[in-house]
Amino acid sequence: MTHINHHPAPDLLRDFAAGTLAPSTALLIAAHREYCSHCQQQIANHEALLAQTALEADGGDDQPALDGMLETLLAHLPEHTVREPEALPTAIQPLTLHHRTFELPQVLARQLHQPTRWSALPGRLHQARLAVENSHLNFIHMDKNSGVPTHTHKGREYTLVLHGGFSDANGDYRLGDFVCLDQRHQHQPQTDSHEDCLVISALEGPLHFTSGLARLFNPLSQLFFR
Amino acid sequence: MTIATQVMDHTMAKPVPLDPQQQWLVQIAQHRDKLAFAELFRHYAPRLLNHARQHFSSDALAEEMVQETLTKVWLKAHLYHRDKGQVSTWLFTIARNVRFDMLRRQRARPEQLCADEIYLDLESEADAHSDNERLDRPIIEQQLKHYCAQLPPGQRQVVQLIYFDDRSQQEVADALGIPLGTVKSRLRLALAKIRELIDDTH
Repeated sequence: MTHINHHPAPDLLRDFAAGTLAPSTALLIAAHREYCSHCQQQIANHEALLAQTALEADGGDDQPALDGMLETLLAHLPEHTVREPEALPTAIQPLTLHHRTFELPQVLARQLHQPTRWSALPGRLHQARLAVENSHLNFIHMDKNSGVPTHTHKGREYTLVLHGGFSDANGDYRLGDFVCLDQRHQHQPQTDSHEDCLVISALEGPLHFTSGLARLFNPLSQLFFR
Repeated sequence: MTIATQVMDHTMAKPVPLDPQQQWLVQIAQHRDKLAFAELFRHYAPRLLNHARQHFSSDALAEEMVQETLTKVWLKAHLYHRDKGQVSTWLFTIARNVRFDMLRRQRARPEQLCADEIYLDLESEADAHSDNERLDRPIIEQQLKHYCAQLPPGQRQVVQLIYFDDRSQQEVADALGIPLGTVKSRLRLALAKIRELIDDTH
């Protein structure tokens, strides 16, 4: 397990434990958890605490709806231990770009049902969409020595580093780091000359490019980055 | 302190006895004991129902959540180990996953992204933003100019005025003597064309 410097905010971990996050955001947190023992423990703590709140108080006796339910269950529960078949592992497609294969956290790898279709963006960037129910995530690959033009976000952007690393004015982000950005942050992610970078992002609103001609991306950004 | 560490601490003395909830699960897992299940049901079902009602306004759905959760407890009892923590924590995570799936089943409808939604922001973007910074990344500027050069004249003119000269869509319409709708549609076509060109070159 790698050493992680940037973690999801405590309320995100709590909402993850409570099961109230959107599926796409929940997937990112689950992927971060695979890298980060600290957050694994935090999530377990939240679960224990939420369980206490939800299930330890007295339930009260006035629940007539439950009498019939118990009878129904007792009449229909299977006698023998039915080992539920483990969910069949779908044939997992590797994530490849230009003949390179990237290793992904399991929760993400299991989502790759089809070969990834990359589209190229100006500036040596590639982007691929990962459909998640009625939403999606974006893989974004930045080549060595490249970057996304300065932009802000209309909503929140959650980003998880899956390979290499990138920097912006606020810091350096390496494998497993989880970054949350919103409209208060203007940033310009950038790779160095040694290593490329693969991230996955969940975007609540479109990117908003703020520098010069790159504003031409604004309408396009909804095609690129959503 | 987790149960696991408690067990470790006392290994030399005597094994830590199972609490009643854990005993129910062991009975269910090893003996398919319906009496133990009924005990567990009477203890947890009312609590689960209160919990479920906080998430579902419909009583029927709240009850469905309880029934599905407790059915899973029966089926998965052998998967519980005391080092997973309290029974209530384990049960909570089962209930959470049941609820998560129920909510998705309710909401699941394919959402279609239509072009009007994609381009809706165009005008406010152009108006709201009139700074005229230099582009920091020459490579992008160069590529975009290259693509713009391949647009039909009418579209290129509109892109030029709006993105290079920072004019609003209304100003462009006035300057060219064409309806605002035409400006919008030319812009839309231009952006789609650029998208196509970018894809084709890679």
